Amino acid sequence: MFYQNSLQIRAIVENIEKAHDFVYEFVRECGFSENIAHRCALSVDEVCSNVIEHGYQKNGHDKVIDVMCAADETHIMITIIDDAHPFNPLDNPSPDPLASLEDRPVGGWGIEIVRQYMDKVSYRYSNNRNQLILEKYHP
Amino acid sequence: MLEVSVAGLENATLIEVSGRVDSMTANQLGEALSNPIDDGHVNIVLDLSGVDYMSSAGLREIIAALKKVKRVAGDLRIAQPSSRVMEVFEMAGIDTLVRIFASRVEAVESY
Repeated sequence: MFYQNSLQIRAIVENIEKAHDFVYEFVRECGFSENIAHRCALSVDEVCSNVIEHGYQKNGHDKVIDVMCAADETHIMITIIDDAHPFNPLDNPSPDPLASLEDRPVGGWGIEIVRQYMDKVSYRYSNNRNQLILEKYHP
Repeated sequence: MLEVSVAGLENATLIEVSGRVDSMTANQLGEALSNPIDDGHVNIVLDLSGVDYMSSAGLREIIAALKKVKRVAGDLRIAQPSSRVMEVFEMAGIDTLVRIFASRVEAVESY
């Protein structure tokens, strides 16, 4: 079986939960566990939050984010697409979990959660749009 | 929306938060942690038993509150995080910065 579905949200923080819930339900309907669904959905939350805050600089009322999901029995692929300036969030180095309180910034964990929770994360800029591709394999 | 309750105890201020901590609600968590510190109550216990979802927006508020409370010689201690929240704490090394307790009573009595 092959499953696919997509959602477009207006790029405001109030809509992040919609993207989260959409991905969670999609992954569950494809037969994957609650834990995998949670990891995929939290990752999508983090990516959308990042796009809204940094990509669209909290000014995305007239902008959109597309969330496209595809899956078969062993593999989930979620592509998050936006129209902000070209930006690869994977260029940022991973933060150090052992950094002292004094030495660490307050933020910076969003994309790291995505890196850790997904099996593969890749970026491309195509058709004038940022595309972050999250992949998860059946354990 | 988060539900937040704050109780001033003899040794500590107990902040109980319930709901989903994400980009929409994290500022509520930040205010709940910040307000008692501003009022001079610097021994804080954050009970997270009612939170089973926390994104990096929540981590940011916890790290910011920890920096703030340490500057005034106080502390932030956490009680009863769910396994999902604990997993994110461990990923970010929050568990190396904050004392985490299995029960609220233990956390309060640690002061």
